[in-house]
This record gives sequence, structure tokens and C-alpha cells, in this order.
Amino acid sequence: MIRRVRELIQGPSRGSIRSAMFASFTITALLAIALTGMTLYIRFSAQLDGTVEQENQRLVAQVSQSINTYLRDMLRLSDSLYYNVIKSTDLLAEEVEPEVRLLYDTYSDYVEDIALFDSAGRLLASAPAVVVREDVPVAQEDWFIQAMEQTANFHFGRPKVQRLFQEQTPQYPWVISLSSAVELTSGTDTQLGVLLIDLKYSALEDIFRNIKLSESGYVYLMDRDGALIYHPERTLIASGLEAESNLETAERQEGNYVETWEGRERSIIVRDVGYTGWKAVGVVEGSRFSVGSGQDILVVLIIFCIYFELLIILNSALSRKLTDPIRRLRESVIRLQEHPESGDIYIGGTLETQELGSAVQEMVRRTEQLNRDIMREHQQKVKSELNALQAQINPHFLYNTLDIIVWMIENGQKEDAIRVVTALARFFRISLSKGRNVIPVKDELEHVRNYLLIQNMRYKNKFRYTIDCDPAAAELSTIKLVVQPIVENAIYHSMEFMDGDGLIAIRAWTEGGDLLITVSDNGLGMTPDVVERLLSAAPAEERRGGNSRRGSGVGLRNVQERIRLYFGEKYGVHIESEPDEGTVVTLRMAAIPFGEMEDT
Amino acid sequence: MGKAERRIFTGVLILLLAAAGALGLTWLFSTDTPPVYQVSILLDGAEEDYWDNFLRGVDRAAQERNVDVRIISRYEGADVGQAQAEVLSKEVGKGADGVILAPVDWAALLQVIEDASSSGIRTTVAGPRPDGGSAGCYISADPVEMGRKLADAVAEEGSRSCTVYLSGEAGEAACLRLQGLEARLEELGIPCRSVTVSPDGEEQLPAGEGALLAVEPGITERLCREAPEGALIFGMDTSNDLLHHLEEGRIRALVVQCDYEAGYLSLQSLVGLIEGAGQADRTLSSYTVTAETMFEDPMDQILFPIS
Repeated sequence: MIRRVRELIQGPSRGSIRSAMFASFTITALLAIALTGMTLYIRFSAQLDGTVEQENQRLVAQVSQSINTYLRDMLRLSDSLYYNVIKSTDLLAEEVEPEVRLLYDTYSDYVEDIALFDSAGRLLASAPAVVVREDVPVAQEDWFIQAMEQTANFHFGRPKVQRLFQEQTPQYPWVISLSSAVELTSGTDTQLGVLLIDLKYSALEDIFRNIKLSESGYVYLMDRDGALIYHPERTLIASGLEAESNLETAERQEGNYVETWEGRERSIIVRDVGYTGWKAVGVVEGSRFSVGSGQDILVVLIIFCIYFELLIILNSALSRKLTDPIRRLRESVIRLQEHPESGDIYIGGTLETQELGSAVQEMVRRTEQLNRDIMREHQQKVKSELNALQAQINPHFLYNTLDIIVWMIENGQKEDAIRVVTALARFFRISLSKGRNVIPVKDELEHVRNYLLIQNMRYKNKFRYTIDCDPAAAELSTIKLVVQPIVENAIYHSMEFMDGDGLIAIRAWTEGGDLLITVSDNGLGMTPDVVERLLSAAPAEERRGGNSRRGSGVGLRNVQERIRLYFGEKYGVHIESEPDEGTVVTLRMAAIPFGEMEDT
Repeated sequence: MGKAERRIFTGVLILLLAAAGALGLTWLFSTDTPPVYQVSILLDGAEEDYWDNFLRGVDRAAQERNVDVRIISRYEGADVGQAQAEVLSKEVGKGADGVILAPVDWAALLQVIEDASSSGIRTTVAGPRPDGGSAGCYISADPVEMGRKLADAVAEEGSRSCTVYLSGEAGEAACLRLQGLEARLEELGIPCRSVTVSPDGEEQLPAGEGALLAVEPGITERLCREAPEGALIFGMDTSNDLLHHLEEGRIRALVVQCDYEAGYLSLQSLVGLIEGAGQADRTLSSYTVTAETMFEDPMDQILFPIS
């Protein structure tokens, strides 16, 4: 499990940088959206809850105030009846009923009936005109007893069905009795009586009509003992179908509470009602704002998906834009690896990728430069080695030549000796060529002429030689000491065995932009395998083979390598030979005028 | 866009389209305003006064559940049961969403109720479930239990015999009440005579012996009007007049159910059936009420409900 989680976390970083960037951007943005959304939801729902709660409290307070106002009006009616009508009336002399009826008519929307009783419970006046039921002992009614016992107070009773009076058509209205003790004047006597005002229950109902707290809330009214005065489900509560927590709430002071009732949490708002000790109670069930309905969830899901899609598009474009230069840099590096000649490294994008590209480009350039330097140095080294090898003086040739010179001097052949010495001096002068490796063709031919002169004398004219140079070729560049080794081979492998009819022909000309120098002899010739061996064998091997025992010891291969080093692979030595017929060795070089070729 | 990105994009797009489609369907098939149901109430042909509290309960539920109620309390024709069945059939044809029925004659109603159910019209009966009853829901106090309570009230009064008056058009509920009454009286050893009277009240009620009992409110009222002074009258159900007689002492006891609750629950359960929720039958409580208890809490609220 842990390994899987780790793999999941590490996954994006193992893929391309673009994927990693896209994943990072998207996850970060989603996280931000989710956190922001949740925070806003919590904040908004809390705020909304608070607003709704305040509104509910305001409504309940308003209801309480309305009831206060209603009760106050009824109390004023009672006071008005007492002080303006009853108290100022001598019951023996006047009728109080007309004025009672007048007030009743004014308040008939709120008042079911008004009745005045003496201390024994006898009806003195009423509006409308009614007769008290015989089976109702007025003096034993709660409202009467309370009024007589607590004469200073007004008494509001609980809702009840009015059955005090006889009616032709029984109506059984619901009323709330308001009773108070009054002073009755009869002549000179005063006695206590009770003023009863039956308030229409429907008037109280009207205050609560259309009061709704939130979606499922309601307001009810109860007395100080918890008995329901008004409840929207009063009848259903009485039948047992519904229940209310009025008895528990009766113990609460004014304020806001949360209770759990029948497994549901709900808010309770308690407000006192003046004059009566009643309480107005607001009940709000589960008022928490929530995204609960299916439609709400679908809307949230749709919005989330739209944002997510926009996020994907944006992040994809952003990650592409940011990683494109890296990708192009990478591709250019790969391209360069596979095809070094493919061109430059990509340099672009952000500052870092530009710097990276420039750094890689510089590194490639330096590497190429180093490679070129190494190649050049290697070539230089090989050239130097080959040149040095080529320039080695064959001790046998020197020894023999000096021997010839001594013999000539001893034999008085001063002129011949001078010629040989001169030729030798010229031979060595051109050999050195002041340290240059590139000399004109004419000098190279002069070098081999001097060599041939010396060798001819040595081999007592066993062969003759011709040197023919095309004027166009004379001033071209050639590497020094390339013709002499070939002539040397011709002498040692062919001319030595001739009897005066040997011929070495040297010719130089230009053809197709190339310089060609051929050395032909009519000597013994060579078989093809010998020819092949000549160009492949190293100089040391040649010496071991004994073929160049008397030569300078530097083989045709040396000449071949030197020509190729200086001029390129397509130049070099070509040998054609037929046994008993002769050999033609052709040197091909690029036709470069002397002075234009770099001497390295 | 890379492969993985395309996959995620496509997946979320599919989810978006699915959610949008679901939301569109929801909007298409729902409206901002709650539905208003059309409900017909077919009473049992008795005086509407007896159904006053029941209809108050129906009104209360109608306000809560947004229901338009049409009340039919009178039927034409000698055969009230058959007439009720015909009216039920017509109401179904008019496109009522549901019907509350106080059945007069089950035999006449059975087929019509079945046809209504097949048409998607839901029915709630304000009465006990009969054998083979196919309406959606039955709301009533147990009529047999009510009959037994009436017998107990008679026994408590000390009556040694009684006469039960039954109308010729007594409905199913009345018959069941009678069953319960007679069975209990027999258990109590109180002999009882049954008398069938004409429903139209044209004929004087025959004289009875001992306590005079009625299981229908109309017959109870007739007893109050026609029985001699001092007769011990026991009845069932309520109306303002019946309660007045009870208050006056003319009726010794009434066995009642909370009609307000019955009306309220009848409409609530009918709306539940219309909205597709299964509804269980409800057996309500019944009460024995006397003049002494009728104004006490909670009987005063049961007998005189505040709507």
C-alpha cells in the first residue's frame, strides 16, 4: 500500500517534464479550488445560517410584540370598560349594558362576549345579550375565582370552549377569558364584581397566521406552565398524532437554544410575552444550509467539471509552452548525437533553457574544436614522424657515395669526384630544403636527378634515366622525398640486374586538376602480391624482408601515407607492374601551385 | 495535449455531459412550483355536519400539501350505495388525482375502486378495510372496538337492556360497529334488540326498551328528537347538535374518534399514495365522551378542533 502510494506520488516525476508540470499544475489548481470552495461554502453557509437565525429571531420577537400589542389593547378595553363605564355607573340607577354593548361592537372582531358579574356570580350585564347556563356555577369558574382572589391583577385564562352562556344554536367557540375584579356601585354600596371579556381565539390565531420560520419552522404560544395556548398542530397534539416539547421549553428562559427532539436537531427561540407570563416559542428544524438536493449536487458537479476542463486546457497549453523549448533542445541534442553534421543546438525559450542551450552549443563547439585539434595534432605527429622517417639518411647510400668519391679522388677522377660531391651536396640540400616539407616539383625532380647521377656512377651506367617535367607541373607543390624512394626501389629491385639497357623514366605532368609523377622502369617487374605487399608493409617490415637492405629503409607505404596526409585519401601511389616487363609507379597529388599549399 | 491529458479531458467531459443531461432531465420533468393535486371526497350521504371536523382536518392537510379538494356529500337515487359508486366512477373519469371515500356499499364500490387503481387513481377510505379491499389506504378507528366501548358505556350507566337502532342504509362501518356492540353486550349479559329504521326519518322511531343505542350519528340525532324525556341515549360520532345534546344530558355518552385527525390523515396518506409512497392503514383511537369530560383537555380539542 505504502509502495503504491509512493509510486503514485513519484509517478509524474518519472515521466516527461511536461507531464510532471501538467500534473503539478492541475493538482495544485484543483487543491486550491477545492480548498477555496470548501472555505467559501463553510463561510457562506455559516453566514447564511446566521442570517436565517437572526431573521427567525426577529420574526419570533415580532410575533411576541404583536401578541403584546393585542393583549395590551384588550387590557385597555378592560380598563376602558371599568373606568369609563362600570366604575362611574350606579347600577341601581343606570343600565350599564348599552355602553358595554357599544364597546363590544367596537371590538367585536376580537371579543366573543363581555359579561359583568357580581360577587355571587350573578350576571349584571352582557354583550351580546346572553343568559348564563344554569348548569354552570359561575362563582366556581377558574376565571372568577382568580379575579376575586387577586383583585389587583388581570387574569388571562387558557383557551377553552365557551359554554357559559345559553345559545339557541350552540356554536362552541374557542375563547381566552380575560377576567378582572371590578368595583361595583349600587347606590351607596360598593362591592366587588368580575368583569369577563372572552377574547376570540381566532383573533389570536390571526397573529400567527402565515408566520413561517425558514422552510419548516413555526411559532407557538404557551403559558408559564407549558400548556399550549396556540400551536399550529394543537388538535393533532391533543389526539396524540403529533408531539411538542412545550413542557421542557417552559423551563427555559428567554433566549435561543438547540435541542434534539424525536431524533432531530432543531433551534428553539423563546421570547416572553408581557402581561401574561406566556412564552412565544419559535421552532426551526434543521436550518443548516446544505447542498443536499440532487439538483444542487448536479449543479456543483457541472460547475466543477467546467472549471476542471478549463484547467486542463490552460495547464496543457502552459506546460507545453514552458517545456517546448526544453523539448526542442533535447531533440536538437539527440539529432546532433545521431548526425553530428545536423546543425546547431536549439537556443530559445526561458532564460534558463537559453543558457542551457548556449552552454550545450558551446560544449559541442569546443568538443568539435578539440576533435579537430586532436586530429590535426595527430596528423601533424604522423607527418612529422613520416617526414622524419623519410628524411633519414640511408647510411649505406652515404657510405657508398663517399666511397665512390674517395675512389675517384684516389684514381685522379677529380672531375667525376667533383660532380658526385656536388650532386651529393645538392641531394642533401634539397633533402633538407631548409626544413620545409613542401617543395616545388622541379626541386623534387632535381633531387632525384642528383640521386640518379650518383647512383648511375655507382652502378657504372647499368641504366639510363630520363626526367621529363611538364612546365605546368614544375611549379606545383609536392611533398619532398616522394620520388627518390620509388627510384631507389626501381634501382635496387630492377636496375641492379640490368646490363646497360635499364631505363628509368621519370615524368611529371598535370591531368584533370591533379599532379601526376610517374617512375617507370623496364626491370624485372613484380607480381601483384608483391605490389600489394609493397603498399601495405611497414618500413620496418620491409627492412626485415631484406628488400630495402640497401635502400633508405622507408617504403612506398610511407610515401603513400605522406601523400594522403597532405592531399587526402583519394591521392597516393599506384603501381602497375608486369613481371619481366617492368613497373610503372604513379604518384598522384593535387595540383596546387607552390606557395599556396600549407607546409606543415 | 498529451495522451494522458486527452484521456482526463475526455473523461471529465463525459462526466460533465452526463451531469448536464441529468440536470436537464430533472428540470424538464419538474417545475418550480409544487404540484397541485385534485382530490375528490365522497362522503357517505349523511349530513355534512357530521363530517365537519373531518373536513377541517382535510382542509388543514390540503393547505400543507397543496391540494384542491372537491366534496360530494349528496347522492341522487334511492340506492345511495350504487349512486356513490356511479359518482366515484365519474370523478375518476374527470381526472381526479385521488379520491377519499367514506363507503356506503362496499359491494357496489369494489369494482369501481379496482378500475380506478388501474387508471392510476389512488384511493383512501375513511373507514375500516373490508375483506378484499383494494383501495390504497384505510383510515379509521376500529369500528368493532367502538361498538364495544359503547356497550361498556351502557353497562357503566347501569342499563340492564338496550335497543339498537340501525338505518336501512347503514354503511359497512356501521355494521361493524353493531357487530362489536352486540358482541360486547352479549359478553356483558345485557340483552339487546336491534331495530331497523328508515333512513329518511319519515316514520317515527319505534319505542325501545332500556338504553337506546345508535351506531350512526343521524339515528342518534333522531333518538334525541323523538325518544321520550329521560331516555338513556347512547350514540356515536359527533356534530354540534350531538355535542349539544350530550352537554344537555340528553345523550349519556358518545363514542367518537378524532375526526379531525381522520380527515388530516386521510388526505396526507392519499397524497402520499399519489406521490408513489406506500401508505399503511391507520387505526385511530376512539374515546367515550360524557357531559363531564367533553370540555376537559384533550377532549375539548378532539371534539371542537381548532382548524
